[in-house]
This record gives sequence, structure tokens and C-alpha cells, in this order.
Amino acid sequence: MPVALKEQTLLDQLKNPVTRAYAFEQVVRDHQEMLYYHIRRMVIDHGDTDDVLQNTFLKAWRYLDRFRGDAAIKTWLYRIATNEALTFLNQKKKHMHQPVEDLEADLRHSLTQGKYIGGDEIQQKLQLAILTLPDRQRLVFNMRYFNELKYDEMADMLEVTVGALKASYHHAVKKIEKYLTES
Amino acid sequence: MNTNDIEPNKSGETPSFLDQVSREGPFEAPDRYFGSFMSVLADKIEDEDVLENAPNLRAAGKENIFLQPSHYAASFPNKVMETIQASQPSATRTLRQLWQHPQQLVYAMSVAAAVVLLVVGMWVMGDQTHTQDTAIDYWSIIEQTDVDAFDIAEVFDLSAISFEGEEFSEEEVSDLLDLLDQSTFDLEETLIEGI
Repeated sequence: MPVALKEQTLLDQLKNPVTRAYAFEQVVRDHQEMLYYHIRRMVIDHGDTDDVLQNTFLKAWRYLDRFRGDAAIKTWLYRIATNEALTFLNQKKKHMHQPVEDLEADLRHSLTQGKYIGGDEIQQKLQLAILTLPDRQRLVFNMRYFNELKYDEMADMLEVTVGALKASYHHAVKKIEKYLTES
Repeated sequence: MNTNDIEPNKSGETPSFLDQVSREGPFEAPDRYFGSFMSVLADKIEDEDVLENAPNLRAAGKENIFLQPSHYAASFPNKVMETIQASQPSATRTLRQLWQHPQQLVYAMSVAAAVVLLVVGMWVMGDQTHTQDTAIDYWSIIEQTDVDAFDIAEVFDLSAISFEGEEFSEEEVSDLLDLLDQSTFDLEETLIEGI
């Protein structure tokens, strides 16, 4: 089935109370992996990722009536997941009374000592370099570099202009390269 | 396509199977693919230029180092759907929530009290109807014992109207109460009718 037709069929099923739960489960299956890694790259720890991912889908379910289908389901879910991940990090800073540096140290600890982390030394070093970026810049870098999303898609998801995204990404690349060169 | 369905062309020759098949094939491009192709390509070239100056980043590659526990992905949709179903309001859950909030508790208790009063009221009305037939017999007993009906009304905390009449002793009242306790007749109704 063509992608556009499949999306429209899903949207119709999501609007129908009888088929809503079935269609939503399909949405979860289709997008869970993509969103898992999007969130995981931000919050690092698997358990935290699981919490944020569940919240993402619960919010999507709760606000399903407000989704009019103007954007693609993927864009809408990315937007919710991004907000949830950033909110989680902000709450972590607030509730633990942590300054930004301490949160970075906490994430660094999860990266180096936590479970479910693979890769070799250089890949871990790259992740440590990414952690030195501000949250939003980290988000933009991950979405462009790892997820290879298009700038206009990212602009829809993050509600930022394409120009601002490009500037942010290019700046992030320079900072990461500097970190990798110096360390 | 069935080859028997192929029609002869203008020159009368039967066209080959390939002549009947569209050269575009069954392949479709996503919506707006060609419209955005140039800008997507330009962005990629621009990014490549930036990465040219970042050899360490290029060397690190794009491999995903984040792993998932085994069976996590397979079990996740069920976990989400169970959470969603559990979050749906149900009668049990609504009642449980009522007890968690003092104002709602007061409201619930008021409703319960109103229901109890309604049930009692209906029971009393039913009882009254049931006993009307025998009421007159009890009234005759009261008359025989020469008791003032309105004093009895006072004893039973009914509308107290005092008529002058013979007073009755505690013993008489006690006997009367015993008599009434064993019965199911409605005293108030009896008194009103009797008067």
C-alpha cells in the first residue's frame, strides 16, 4: 500500500471510536523505534527513555482528537517526543537542584557506566562531545546527523526556521570537532 | 495480464507483451518528492562541505551505540495499550477517586443518605397501606381502655393536640406500647381517622 494511502487509512481509523485503539497500536508499532532512539540520544539512560517514550504515546492518545492531520503522524509524534524529552531534562535539573554542569555529569555517567551502551571508544567519545552541547543544539545535531532528517521536516517538528536549524547544526559540528581534536 | 487479451495494432500485427505494459512501471515517488529534491540535495552538499572540515567527526561515523534490553521493543506496544486502557475512566475507578477527595466524599455521602431516606420512606408508605385494614380494630382497643388518643399521639411524638380527658398511668402506657410494638399498624393514621 502506498505510504500516503496507508497514512490516510490510519487517520480514518484513528477518528473512528471503534477502530481507534487498533489503529493507535499500529501507530505505536510503526514509530516506537524511531522515537526511542530520538529520545534515548537526549536522555541517555534506557529507563528514562522508556518513561519518556510511554509519556509520548500517552499524550498522543489523550490529544488524538486535536490532531487534525495537517502534519504527518511522524511529525506530530516527533514534536511530542521532543517536548517530553526536553521537559524531562528540565525537570531533572529543577527537582534535583542541579546546575547545567551537574546534569551533564549525570548524563555522562549514564553514558560511560550505564547499561545497554555499546560501540567502541571513538563512538563513545563522540557521544561525550555531543553532551557538551546545549540541549536544543544537541537535539538538532542528533536529528540531522544520526536520523538524517530533512531541514524542512525538522523545521515542522521543532517549529524553528530552516535557516536557524542550519546555523545550529553547522555550529554544533564545529564544536564537536574541536572537542574531538582536543581530547 | 492474459496474453489472449492483447488486441492487434493498426498494422494488423499482434503487439508483444512488453508493448502493452507501461514503461513507468509500478513505482511511485512520495508526495512532493520532486518539488523538494533540489533543496534537499543542496542541503546535503552544504552539510558535506561542513563535514569536510570535521575529519574526527567523520571518522567516528554514525553507528548507533544505544542498545535495548531483549524483548523490549516487542513488548512495548502491549505495555502502552495496557496503560491506556487502565487510564480509561471506569465505574470502579470513579468511585475510588471519590474517596480520595474530601469534598467528593461529602457529596457521595449526601447522595447515599438521600437514597437511604428514599428507601425508608417507600417502605413506610408501603407498610401504611398494608396495615390500614386492621387499624380500626386497634382503635377500638384503645377506646376500650379509655385512653385519650391525643395523649398517645404525644407519647409517639406525633402532632400533639391536647384534649381534656382521662389521664393514663405509666403502666397503662407500657401495656399499650407493648401492644403497639407487636403490631404493624400505623398509629398516626389510626389516630387521625379515629378522631
